[in-house]
Amino acid sequence: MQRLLALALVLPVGLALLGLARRARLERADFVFNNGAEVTSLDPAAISGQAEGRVADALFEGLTVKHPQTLEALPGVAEAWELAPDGLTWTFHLRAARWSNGEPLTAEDFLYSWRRLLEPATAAPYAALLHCVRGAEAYAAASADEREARWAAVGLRASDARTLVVELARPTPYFLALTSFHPLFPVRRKSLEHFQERFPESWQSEWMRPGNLVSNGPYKLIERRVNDRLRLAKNPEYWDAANVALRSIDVLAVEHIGTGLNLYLAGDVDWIDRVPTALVPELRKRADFTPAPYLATYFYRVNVTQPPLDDRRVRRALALSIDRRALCERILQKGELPSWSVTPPSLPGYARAEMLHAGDDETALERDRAEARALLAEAGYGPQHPLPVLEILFNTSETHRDIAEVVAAGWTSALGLEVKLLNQEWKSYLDSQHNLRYQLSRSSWIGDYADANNFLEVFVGGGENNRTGWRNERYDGLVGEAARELEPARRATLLAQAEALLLEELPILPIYSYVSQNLVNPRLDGFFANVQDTHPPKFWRWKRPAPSATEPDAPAPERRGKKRAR
Amino acid sequence: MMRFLLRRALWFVITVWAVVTLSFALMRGVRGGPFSSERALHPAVEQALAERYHLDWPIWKQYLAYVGPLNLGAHGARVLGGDGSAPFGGVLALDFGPSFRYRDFSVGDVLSQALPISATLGALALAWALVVGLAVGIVSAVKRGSALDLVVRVVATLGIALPSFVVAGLMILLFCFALRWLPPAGWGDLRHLVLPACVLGAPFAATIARLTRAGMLEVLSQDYIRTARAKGLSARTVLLRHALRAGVLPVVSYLGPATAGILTGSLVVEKIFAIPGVGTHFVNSALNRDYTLAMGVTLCYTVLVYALNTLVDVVYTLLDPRIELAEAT
Repeated sequence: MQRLLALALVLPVGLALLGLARRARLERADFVFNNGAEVTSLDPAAISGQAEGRVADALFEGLTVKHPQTLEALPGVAEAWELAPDGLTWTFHLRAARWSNGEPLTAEDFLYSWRRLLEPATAAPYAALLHCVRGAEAYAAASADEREARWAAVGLRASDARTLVVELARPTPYFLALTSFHPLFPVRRKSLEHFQERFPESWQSEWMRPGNLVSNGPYKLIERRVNDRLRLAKNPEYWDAANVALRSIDVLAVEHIGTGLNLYLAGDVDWIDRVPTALVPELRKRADFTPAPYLATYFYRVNVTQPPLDDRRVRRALALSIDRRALCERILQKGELPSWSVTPPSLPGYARAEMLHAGDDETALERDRAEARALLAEAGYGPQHPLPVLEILFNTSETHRDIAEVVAAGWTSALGLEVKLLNQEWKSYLDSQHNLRYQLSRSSWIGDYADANNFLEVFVGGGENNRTGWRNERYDGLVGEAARELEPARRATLLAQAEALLLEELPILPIYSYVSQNLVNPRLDGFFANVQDTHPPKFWRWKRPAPSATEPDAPAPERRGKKRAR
Repeated sequence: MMRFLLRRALWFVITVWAVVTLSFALMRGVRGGPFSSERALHPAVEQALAERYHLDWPIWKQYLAYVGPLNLGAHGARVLGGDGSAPFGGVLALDFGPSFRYRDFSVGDVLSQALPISATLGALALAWALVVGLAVGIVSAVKRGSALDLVVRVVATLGIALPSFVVAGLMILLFCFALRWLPPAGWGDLRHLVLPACVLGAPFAATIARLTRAGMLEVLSQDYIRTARAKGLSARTVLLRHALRAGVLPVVSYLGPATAGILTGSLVVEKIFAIPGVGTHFVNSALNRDYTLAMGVTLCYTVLVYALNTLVDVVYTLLDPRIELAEAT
């Protein structure tokens, strides 16, 4: 019997050690950052999230690369480019770049990859970004049989192996910015076709495996463990490898924000991009916590299809009575800016519109709320005939609940409304929003590129991201006209007019502009706060330790474990 | 014994079928889909994805394709890396299909990476829970009423009462930030296992200690123990050879639920300590509406719990000849 009992004890321990032995141990990488979630894919055409974008920026490279601070386009695979005087024809001159297996990368690779992006079967979330290319939209909409013939009419061609010519259907001021965005990264045709042939059913998982994946970025994939980490190593075939400082990078997929912070504080991770809201006052005392404004807006969507919120005056009364300053200063505390617009501040060349309000001084809120009461009275609501109970929908999160509570308390005290809060888990919440099964719903929008159009086209009537039931022909007309406008200043004016109209109609109630929440090892160089909160990995390097540097460039591997971030 | 195992096998098939059907129905019944996101997909893109994963098929056909290796015919041209995925083998062929969320992985890939990790963690947690629980329980029973017994009982009660995220937080504070002995989270070497295994095993160690103590106390007052002592056997022999064998029975019957508890309890611990095991997938796959992965993980848990419970029943009869398996079903 003892033998049996002993077996019962030894068996699990043996199993455990066996499990351990199965895992190859990994030394800490030169640089470790937490990406916040397991990436859904490495295929640059298939992804849309921020976490996925970071990995794509390390593994692949487009025609251009963003400057880590100013975000202007720096040479990537293209060493030079020019825009013809018509404002529509871009010519990119490619350098002698190579894939990570040493093969040359040519203009044909871009043609193939961009065509693949447009192909409906690829199901690329960002396929529509290329619709600014002449004939691209018609190509994507054509039936499978017609498509081959339509391709000739698409404004993409390689005049030689190193020259890519792009003809746009309409002037697109942000087109150059798109060339550094992951949907337009090249993928290697031979790899894809090889694995599709060999694994007709599972090619999708095969061609992205470490060892199989051929990419063209500053780093290449070494190891991939689901929900744990991606190990990247410097790609020696990369054209600018001499200027890539880090030998290896670990991309962690730690979801729990508190755990991420623990890892950072213990020195096991060098960069985290989210911190627990409750700890912000404490973290603000640290020099390595540097929140900065970025292109994202927090707002409430309003379902305008049902009374009483189909009345513009009621929506305006609600928008006026939100105490944005209290939200930013007492709840969010990271330096978020109260917002009266749907676009974030600091969009280059764009003077954003704001909804009319009393001002930003101490007493402004009271004046706004007085106007709100008058608006409600005008709409026929008052103490005798109160508004029906309103409901704020949000996806489950402490911060969203806190914000909703402050908003609701404001509406109750200023307007005498009864407000209920309803939280739903993420997918149900999205479903409710999509099917307009809500009255007011917490929302946000993050810009993909620094252009007002990216925020305003969301609310065009019938768009899949509109989700308010609001449709305004004049608005759609203005946004459409701006898209066709050649002259940048005139285009900006049209967009600002559209935004002003949106903020008069208020199918959304703007609340605040986001700030980033990066906590970064102060020894890291080449990492800057910028409005897109995007940090191209090729520029990262360790600052040299004071004068006594023994090894140039080497980021001291023995750092690990002992040193703790201040 | 043989009949028992056969009957168990039959029930196993029925259970698996029920779980597959129920989890399929639940996943499809719940609102929201695998491809919805804040930035909604263009309807054409959504359509293309639905076709790729055959979500455009009638639900009964999808169910049949999920259960059986019924190749219902691939469709869709394989253009430029677009489509080409034939229906996967199905549960009967042990092929759970591609994960909808982690597009570069199949459910099999995900499980084969996560399962050994959860198994390692669970086995270690169970092992330490058994060693510590049994030892403490025996000592506490023998020294009944002493100060030591009191301390053990208080600690054991605390261990059961405190939720694991509280224990985890306290331990991280102590061992990672005050003493700086252990890393706060992650997965890479042995040091990463210590805290999660301790936290995961703690409530089970406490329960095992209490069960052992109670079992031993009961046995120690039995006549045959007195007889054994009267025969002049040493206290140690009496304790380990005669008393323990019967005293430990409640612990053995607890092992079944304990294993299930450690399996399902691991999701909190895995989250806090960022361990890439099955527990995280169990929660996330449902939240992400990753249909295939959610069903795969549920099935995986079903098989594990069923197998371990059967194993415990077998061990039980070996320990106590009074029990016959035919009745145990």
